[in-house]
Amino acid sequence: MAQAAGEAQDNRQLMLHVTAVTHRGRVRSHNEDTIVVARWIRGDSMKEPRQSVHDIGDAALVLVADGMGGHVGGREASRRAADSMVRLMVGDTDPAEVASVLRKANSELFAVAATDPTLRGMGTTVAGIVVMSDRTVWFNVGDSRVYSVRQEYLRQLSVDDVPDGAGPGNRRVTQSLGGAYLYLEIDPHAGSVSTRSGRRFLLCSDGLTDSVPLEAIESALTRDDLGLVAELLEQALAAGAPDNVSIVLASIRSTGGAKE
Amino acid sequence: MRNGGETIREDQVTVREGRVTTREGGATVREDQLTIREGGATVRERPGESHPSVARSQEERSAGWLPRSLAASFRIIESLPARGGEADLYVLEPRNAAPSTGGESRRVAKVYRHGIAPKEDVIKRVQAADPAQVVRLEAYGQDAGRWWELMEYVERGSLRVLIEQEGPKLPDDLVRDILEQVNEALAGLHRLSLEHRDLKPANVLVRTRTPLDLIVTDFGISSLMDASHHFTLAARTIKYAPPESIGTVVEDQAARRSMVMIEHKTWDYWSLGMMLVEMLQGAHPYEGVAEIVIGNQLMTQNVDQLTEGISDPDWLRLCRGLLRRTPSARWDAEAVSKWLANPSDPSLVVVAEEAAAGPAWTQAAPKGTIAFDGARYATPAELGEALSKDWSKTESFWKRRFPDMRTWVTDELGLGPLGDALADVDDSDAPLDSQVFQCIYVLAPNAPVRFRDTDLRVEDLVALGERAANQGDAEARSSLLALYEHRIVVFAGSLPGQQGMAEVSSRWNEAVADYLRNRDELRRHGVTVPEPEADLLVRLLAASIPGSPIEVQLRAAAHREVTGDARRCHWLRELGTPEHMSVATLCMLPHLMAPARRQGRLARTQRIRGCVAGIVVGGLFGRLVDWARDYSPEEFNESLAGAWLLMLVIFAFVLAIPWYRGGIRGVRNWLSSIRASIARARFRAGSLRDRDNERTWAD
Repeated sequence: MAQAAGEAQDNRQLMLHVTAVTHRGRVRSHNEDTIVVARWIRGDSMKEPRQSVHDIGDAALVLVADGMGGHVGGREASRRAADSMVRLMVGDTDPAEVASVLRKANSELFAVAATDPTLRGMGTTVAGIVVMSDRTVWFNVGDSRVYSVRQEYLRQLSVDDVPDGAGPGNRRVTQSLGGAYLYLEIDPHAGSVSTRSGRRFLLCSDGLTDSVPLEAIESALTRDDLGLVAELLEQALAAGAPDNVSIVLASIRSTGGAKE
Repeated sequence: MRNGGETIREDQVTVREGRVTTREGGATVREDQLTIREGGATVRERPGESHPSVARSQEERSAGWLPRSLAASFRIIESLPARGGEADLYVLEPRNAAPSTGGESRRVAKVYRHGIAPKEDVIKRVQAADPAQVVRLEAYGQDAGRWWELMEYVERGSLRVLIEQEGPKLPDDLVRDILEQVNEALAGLHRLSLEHRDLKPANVLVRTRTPLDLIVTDFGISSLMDASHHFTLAARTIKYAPPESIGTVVEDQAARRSMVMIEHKTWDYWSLGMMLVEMLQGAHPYEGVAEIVIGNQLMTQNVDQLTEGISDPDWLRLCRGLLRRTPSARWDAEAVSKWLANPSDPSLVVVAEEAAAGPAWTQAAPKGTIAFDGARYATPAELGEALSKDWSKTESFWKRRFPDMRTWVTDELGLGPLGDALADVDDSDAPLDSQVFQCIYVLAPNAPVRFRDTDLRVEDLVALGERAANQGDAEARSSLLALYEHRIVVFAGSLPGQQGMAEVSSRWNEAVADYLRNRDELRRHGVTVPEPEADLLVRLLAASIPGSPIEVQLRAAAHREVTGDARRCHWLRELGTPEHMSVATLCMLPHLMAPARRQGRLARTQRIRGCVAGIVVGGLFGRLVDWARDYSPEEFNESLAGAWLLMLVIFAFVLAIPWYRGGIRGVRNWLSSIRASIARARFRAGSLRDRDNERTWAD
């Protein structure tokens, strides 16, 4: 118990360093992705990654949402889902509670679509983490991904909601927030890992994973946070970036840790 | 605190032998030395008189924290090592105890940590239990947010101590006696709907040795309120825990909350079986085996393997009856009593091991398969063995297929705890190759031990050490470093049948610890040795392997090096002669030789100076006596001259010491310090009062 208390004490010194970018890509004229870093919500395309530092004494939410359903609907869906998540996710949580929040966000999205014919069928994937002092809860619905960044490789934590046998470039998901004309219940994926100094999580929309092979992403892992996100965006753009690209790197560091 | 359903203030608690009573209106009940009075007029502190608990000595405060209600009457005389973090244990003595009372007046206090509350219902049941079988719980309460229990003190220690003193293998008669008493205690507890759930030799206390009188103690697990603690605590004593402790914890927390009231009191009988096996075989079947591996074996191993070392058919039958995987098939108090009455009782039946029946944790039979390297595997052991054969493919499998493997183990095979164990490995900060290694042997603890496609037996380590230390083989060096830094050897040593590796691991760790101790000690002598990194770690390992030629070579080198001036170095002598130097010392010796030789030369010089000083002082003494006698033979007083000359000799010796230690500079320094001391003494005596000096000396 004393040890646990000691660990909690140490964890209060942990900070969340986030490097995030969302980009419309090379083909799309607009950005349908939305990223959330703590309470900051960004849907407009960015020229370069933005960095921020957050206290994880209070739970810190970080997510990417990849909107679907055309120009208006896709953007609106990802923005509204992000807004719902920020509003509903308050304080410490666990995977079950996060799943419940995702279900509520799904209901809210359907409710909005029902009132506006132009938004009917809008939907979004969502993948994110809630970083707390002792654990980090990851979650996803759809094919946006959460990776745990290891020394030499990426461990995918999220579970892709895609048809069996679907490969890169697949445009179909088996579930999403909204994304249908009639209300559909969702079965979110969520789990937790321990929060420790040095841990990094990579969140991305399929705009990155469809354009850049996993091995290429892993070969850039030795770079610092800003360099890694910038390089991944550059690689995605160099590969043609037919879809919007959102990349968020969340690093947990103790207060005295090295700065970028 | 509650008593009889009524909430009372904790500062009104009066502790009496055997139960907690309340006191109304300030009337106190004094009962021998056990009355603890708090609150009310009778214990009001007089002005200027501190409360006894406040007036505790600094020593006591540093010894531990005692609730006020206990601190008023007792003082801590010893802090006992407490397992886990739920409580502190102290041996107490009444404040007014006479020295002759010895251990009889002593008590043990268990003070729970903040936020941990014992279940009062359970405590009351324990208090109601027969004190001939269970430790006497004399009082309990809550103070400053912490719960406490006051128990009898058993001086002779536990059954664990008895096993260590008279074992490891105990005579059959003694084991029978132990069995009889523990069985009676368990039956008594179970009649009160209490289940111990943490039965092990350390929790059976020896009241008297002759005749043997045992009691059961530490109901920490069964009395803790929060179900989440059960998992932690149960996991910590997994060596005595039954298979269901692994399988049901996660799935059925609600049932676990009410575990002390459950119908089947079979958990404790598995623990009793494990204790018997340990005492009869002279070693616990899981001795030295990592908890993660024990968990896997409890789920998948044929439990009859646990009793393979017992040859006596009656004892074997009893142990197998107790160690049944299926709780309902496990022998209970009645069966044990029957066995004690007649070991051949035909009504006693040992149910055959059921591999695929019962709840999920018993289902070792595969429901699905998983693909790896072109083949499909049906059991964790098969997959683990296949993974051990190709390191790079296994690495890739671990990186990319971990989620599939976890799903297969958890959902298809129904081995949730094994899936959790794999997840724990994945969630750890261990490097990739350590995670891969652990994954293989969590799946297949009995697979041949291999690391990076190389067999990992003791003889392989010898060869690797030889190549790394003598031939400068970079790959061997890198492998050895990974083995140490990634704790591969430690984990390998915890696998079944890897006692040799465990010895290497232990010797290596001891060598590193010894190296660090020596390093710190040598710093005090101004000698700096490098940190135990890379090459040194390799050398320490190579020299730590039993049968390694490296130690012989290092010792031979030490014989050659430690000669001449180096032998005169006192701190090198403290590290032992070359024949007796530890492996760590042998490894650091090359870094010690130059300073040791310097120190030896200095010692030699000092010795010469000492001789010269002796000769000079002796000569001077003789000359002075002669001179005094010649100067005035008629007035020469032998006694007075002797006294004066003795003083001179003493002064000469005093002067010779700094010269001996530092030459002329030493003498000069010594004289300066004498001057400074005199000045300081004068200042203190008041002879120096000027501001400058005051400031100088005050500083």
